[in-house]
Order: sequence, then C-alpha cells, then structure tokens
Amino acid sequence: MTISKRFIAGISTTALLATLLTGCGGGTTTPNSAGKSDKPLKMTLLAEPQALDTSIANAAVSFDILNQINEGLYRLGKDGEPIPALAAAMPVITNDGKTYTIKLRDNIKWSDDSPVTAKDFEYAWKRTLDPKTKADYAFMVAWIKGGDAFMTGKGSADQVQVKAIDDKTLTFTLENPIPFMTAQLSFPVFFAEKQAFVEKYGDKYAADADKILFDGPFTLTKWDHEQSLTLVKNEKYWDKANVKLNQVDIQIASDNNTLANLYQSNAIDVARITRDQVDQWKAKPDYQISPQLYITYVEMNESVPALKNAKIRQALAIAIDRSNLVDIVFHDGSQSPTGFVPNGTMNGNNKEFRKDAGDVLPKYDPAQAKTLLAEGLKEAGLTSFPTLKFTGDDTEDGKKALEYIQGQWKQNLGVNVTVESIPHKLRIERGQTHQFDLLLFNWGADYNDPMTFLDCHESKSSFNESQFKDPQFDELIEKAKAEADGAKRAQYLVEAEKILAQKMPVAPVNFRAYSYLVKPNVKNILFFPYGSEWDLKNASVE
Amino acid sequence: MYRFVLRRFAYMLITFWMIVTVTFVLMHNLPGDPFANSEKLSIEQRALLAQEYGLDQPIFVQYKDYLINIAQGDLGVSFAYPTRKVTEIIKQSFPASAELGMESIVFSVIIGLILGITAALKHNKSWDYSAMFIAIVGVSIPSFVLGPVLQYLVGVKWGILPAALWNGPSSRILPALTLSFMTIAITARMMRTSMLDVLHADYIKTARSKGLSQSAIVLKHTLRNAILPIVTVLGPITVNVITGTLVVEQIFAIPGLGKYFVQAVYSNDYTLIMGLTIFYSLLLIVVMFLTDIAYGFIDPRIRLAKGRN
Repeated sequence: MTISKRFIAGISTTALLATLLTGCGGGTTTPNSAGKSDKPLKMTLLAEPQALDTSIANAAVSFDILNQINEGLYRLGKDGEPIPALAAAMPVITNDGKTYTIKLRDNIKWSDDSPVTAKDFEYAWKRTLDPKTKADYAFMVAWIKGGDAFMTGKGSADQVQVKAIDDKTLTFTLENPIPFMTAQLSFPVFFAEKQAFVEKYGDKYAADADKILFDGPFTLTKWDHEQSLTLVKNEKYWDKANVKLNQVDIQIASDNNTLANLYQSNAIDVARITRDQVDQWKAKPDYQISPQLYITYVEMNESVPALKNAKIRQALAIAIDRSNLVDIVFHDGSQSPTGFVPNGTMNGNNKEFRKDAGDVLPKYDPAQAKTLLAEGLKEAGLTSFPTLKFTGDDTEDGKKALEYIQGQWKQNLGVNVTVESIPHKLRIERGQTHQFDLLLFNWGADYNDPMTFLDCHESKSSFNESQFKDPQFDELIEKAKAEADGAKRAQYLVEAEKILAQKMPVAPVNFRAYSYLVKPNVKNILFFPYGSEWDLKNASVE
Repeated sequence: MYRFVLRRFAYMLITFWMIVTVTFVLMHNLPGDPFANSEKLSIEQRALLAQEYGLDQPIFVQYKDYLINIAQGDLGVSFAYPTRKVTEIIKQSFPASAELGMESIVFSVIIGLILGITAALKHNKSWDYSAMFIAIVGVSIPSFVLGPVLQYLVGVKWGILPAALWNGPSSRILPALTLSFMTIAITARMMRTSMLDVLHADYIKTARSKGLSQSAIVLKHTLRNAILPIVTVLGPITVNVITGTLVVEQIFAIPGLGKYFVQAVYSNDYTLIMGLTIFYSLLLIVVMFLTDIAYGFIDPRIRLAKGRN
C-alpha cells in the first residue's frame, strides 16, 4: 500500500473545498420586504414534545403543538378570557356553579371527515382518568364528581359525572364550584379524542404525525423526532377563514445562545432569550416580555426551631432586596413580587387578584429586619441564629439566587447559611419529605386562579413543604373552595393571603417572566402566562 | 486465532452483564422518581403511578424482569416519552450522532496524521513547532467555547454557513469542525511521538544503510509500526467522539443521541438510562473487540503470542 502524503493532502483539501462550496450555495433566506405572507413562520421548541396524546401530554412544548393541531370547547383570547371554539356558546351553568351544559358548534370535523361529537369529549376525559392511561394531569379531570374515585381505582368510569346527552350536547357536574372552569376547558387535557381511532393505534396512538386526528387550526404533516415539526393550515377547520398562516416550520433547539444566533441569522422568527442577551435587545422592537403565572420563594421549614417563630421568618424575608435580586439574577422582565400570587392571576370574579389585593409584602428594610430578628430570637428562647442549610436547584438561575440571598442575609442580618445546589429531582424529594432547613422553590400555575398559589399552604396539603399551620388560613381556604359566589370567594382569598403576609411561611423573591424576540414582520402571536407558551391561530407573516 | 476470538467474546459477555447490573443498581438508588411532573403530583398520585409501572415491586423482581426483556431485545418504553420505545429512540437519534462523529473522526484523523507525520519528519524545525502549536490549541480550547465562537463568527457575523440545526450538508461543517479539534490534537501528538520512536529504531538505521529511499522507509516501514498506538486508541476515541457529541449537539441543535444521556439521568428515566448504557457499552465493547482483532492483523507478533497462550 503506497499512498503518498501528497495524495492524502490532496484528497482532504478537495473534500474540504467541496463541502465549503456546497455550503455557500445554500444559506438562509432573508425576509423580503414586499407583501404577502405565503412564507412559513419559523418557530422553535425547547424540547421534543414528549407526547401528542392529549390525555398524557404533560409539558409546555407538547401543549404548544396540541393547541395548534387540536382544539377544546373554548380557546383563550388575547386577554386570557375563554371564547367559544368547538363549543357554540358560553356554557349554561346551574346547580350553584357545579353543573355545566355545553352545546357544540355545527360542522366541526376531524381530519378524517367524521364529525366531532360530544361523545368524543366524554370518551377522552374518562380515558384520561383511567389509571391505566397513567395521565399526569388526570387530577384536573378529577375535579368532576366521581372523577377522583375512578382515578384512584375506587370507582368505575360510569360513576364519573360527565355525559354526552346527544351528539351535540355535553354535560358534567363538578365536585365543587370552580370559577375558572370554562377557561380551563381550553387546556389540552380537556380536548376530545375519537375512540375508534385511539383504539386502532393502541400504544402507538399519537406517536407519529400519521397517528393523530386533527380538529384544530393546523395539521401536523411531518414530525422528525428531536429535529423538526411541520404544521400546515387545516382546510377542514371550522374557522379556517381566520387562519392566516399556511405553514409553520418548527425546529427543536434548547441552547439560549444558539437560539439568539439563529434569530440573528434569520433562520427563525421567534426566540426566547435569557439574561445574557436581554441588554443587547431590550431597546429594539423585536423585544417582548411575557409575564408568567410563576412564583419563586424561599421555603422555611417550621420543624427547625429557629424557623418556627413568625418574626424570625419575617426578618429573613424583609432582609432581601427583592427588586435588586430580580434585576441581577433574572434580568429578563421578571418582576419583584408584591404578594404570594403573581401579577396577571385572575381572581375568579373577572378582576386581577393582585390589583384587588394590592401590595401585601412588607418592604425591604434591613433595620426593621434586624429588630424583628432580635425580638424573634428572644421569643424563641435562642441566643443566636444557627447556621442553616439553604438548598436549591443546580440551575444557573437557582445558583445565582441562592448566592445572592445568602449574601443579603450575611450583610443585613449577620446570619450565615451554607448554600447547597442539587439536581432538580433531588430538590423536589427533599422538599416533599421536609428534609431541608431553607429551600428555594418554584411553582408555575396550571390554571389561572389564586387557589393554585394558596392552597399549597393549607396545613393538610401534600405540597405544604414548610409545614405551616394556621387554622384561620385553613378555614378561609376551605370556605373559598365551597363558595359559589365569585365576589365572596375572591374576598376569602384576599384575606387568606393577608395572613400569609403576616405569618410569612415562605418568602417570595420573584414573579417570573419570559423574554422573547419576535421579528417585526410577524404579527398576532399570542403568548400565554401559563399552560402552553404560544398560540398561532391568528398569527401572520407580512 | 480462533481461541483468541472466542475468549475475547466471552469476556465481552461478562463485561456487558456487569455493566448492566451495576448501572441498574446505581440507577435505582437515584433519589426521586421517573415521573415528569413529580413536583405537581401528590404522594398518593405518585404511589398510584408507581404501581401502574411496576415500580413498587421488590428490586430483584424488577431486575429479573429487565434481564428477561433484554434477552428478547426489548428495552422497554421511555418514561419521558411514553409513546416511544427505547429502541426506537436510539434508532432514530443515533444516525445523527454517528454521522457527526464519523465526519469529525475522518477529518481529524487525516489532519492529525498529516500534522504528526510532518512534525516528526521535520523534527525540531518550524513545521514541527507550528504543527504542535495547532495541536496544543486544539486540546486546550473546550468545545463549548469553540462551538459558540464558530457559530457566531461564521454563522451569524459572516453568514457563510448555517448557525445551527441539521438541515443540509452545509450544516455539518461547523459542528464537525468543533468536535475535531480535540482528536486532531491527540492524533497529531501521538503520531509524532510514535514516529520519532520508530525513526530512531535500529531496523530503520538498517534500512537506511541498505540504501532505501526516504519515502520507502517512511511508507513501508515507519508508518506501519508508528500507527499501532493510534489504532489502539482509535477505538475508544471513536466511541468517545460519538458519545461526546453531547455538547456540540446542544450548541448546534443537532437531533442526536448525546443529549439523552444527561436528560435521562436528570429525569430519572429508568428505561432510557438502561437502554443508552446498554447501547453505548455494547458499542464500546464491540469496538474494543474489533480493535484487538485489527491489532492482531497489523502486528503478527501479537496474534501469534496470544494464540500460543
């Protein structure tokens, strides 16, 4: 074998040149200025959708796609209010807010031309509750009377109180009145499924693009797992006249830096960015902020003697400069918290909870914090504050937040804590088994109501990680849960939050937001504060 | 030769079984459970799910069931992706990683060999110094620095190549280049050292004194001997590159297998963790096996020595 060095060099140079030349030929299109939008919208998802089966979907990326290819009885509009989608009108609500009767719209079809019927909804919801389906969000459908029993194996499907009275009428009865139920019907777990189709594919239902039935604004024509999805306008959709886009090309990319680079090189039209890129873009028209129903707070475990005293907890809370923290650690449109329920959460009576309750958190005040700490220690019979462990996720934000707060406590109170950054799953386990002193905790809403942020502090809640116990608070929450009158219920919740502000079981540090870049020629993408991230039904590219 | 191969094969099986067992035990000792939204599920709900998945069975039962399944080629269904079997996920994502890895290796071995051979032949002259400088730079700059730099400069600022994604032949260049640097560096240095050793050996002096031309000496005698160490590490390098595409895949948004590694462990996706471990260890074991055999061919002394034992 006599291959000369020159030969090897020659081959490799040629190969390199060849690939470079083909590369130069391709490249990306720049948006042209002249008019009409037959151009596809180029989006990204942060991860592969884990399942496009509406019963078992459990991640925002899955909801994003499901919202485009399927539809519920209602859809969320620009202001987050439900508007009739597959339903013909708003529901008829009787029985003290517990029984809903909904008529379906005419001419709604699946992509195989069969009609979408009320039976499809009844089937889907019961399938979700079935323990064999292993649906994470079954707990939502279990709000229906008989749902919890079926889900936990103590009852049968027939005892679940949801029924298709006829092809076009669906009725269900809830265990308790839920003021946000109509809006919640826009969540994918309440979408319809066609029984014959699901059973035909069994385990493989919704595993690929050809194993899904569509009844939403778009169809999924191509799904290259982990790589890309292609959506095309659904010509059988009842409201296709209002769908402006013909095609959406979705790529899967998770790295923040990469997304910013792709956006800048015009390979994509929308990108979510974080702290490092915000300053570069915040003055440009591309920049948008989407506040989320998502809170970060410090949990304080009351089985630790030093944390049992309310004044000590208050001291720890007001020793943190929250606005500075939000600016330094998150720096992405996130806001300094003013309570235990984030901005934008509706109170179940058509008003924003935060606007109703006002700012209930005591201000940042190092001097007052020192005084409270001294008083609290005396009350608790302690001479000094012990060195405790402060645990959080080992994500970038998590680590920065831990260090910042540690610094604030040292500087403002002379209190020492050791910081412990651990993997997410471990942090969750520690929290739920109460194996922590101080824990940095995140909670995103699954539905737009203050209850999701308040009932976790009930003494009996399995999410009450701090082990907070206040009988007055518990009573207000239970009263609110049973109350059908929206105004009364909202009032109970406002009072309950005031108790939290006095007793400070947890110290809120952030109301989260997402920062987006959107090409100026892309219009009408809806961004949501919870559930799925965006909705493209009325979007267009000019 | 036959007994040599047979013995290697038996070692393969034993190693494989040990890897599976150790991973299984370690994995089940990870805190937390494999459910995606465990922070939103109450303790009762998680117990119910665990029951449905058979996770409440004693660990020996789960282990036995798992071994039986592997023997039949069934790696189970991913917890994170409930509609996809682990074998499907691997089948779907591995080609991208393999392609990226192979392109990178071919490119970097060729460049590395050229640099190393040149450096050795022009020992202690400027060619040597520049080749080794390139090698050091390559091994020092980590891929998570090189990748974004190339992406920004070449993909965004100059706009010559796509910044990321896996669409078309031009999108292969930047990621393959990013991955290559480390291997170029290793190959170049190894080849240089190896060649220098061989060039100073007695039998080369003999060949020179016999009057053979420089190219004959290099090609017929030196290369074949010098390349042995490279062959040894080429196996593990290949597997390393293919698996180590993790960072590059993340930066360039490539739909490969690398990211499943970390993701699966973070989400406690038991079936995927086991499936990936089995896949990669099989890959590594088979590659080592082939390397041993290739070694036997290249150097008859090894083959004969082993055979006699």
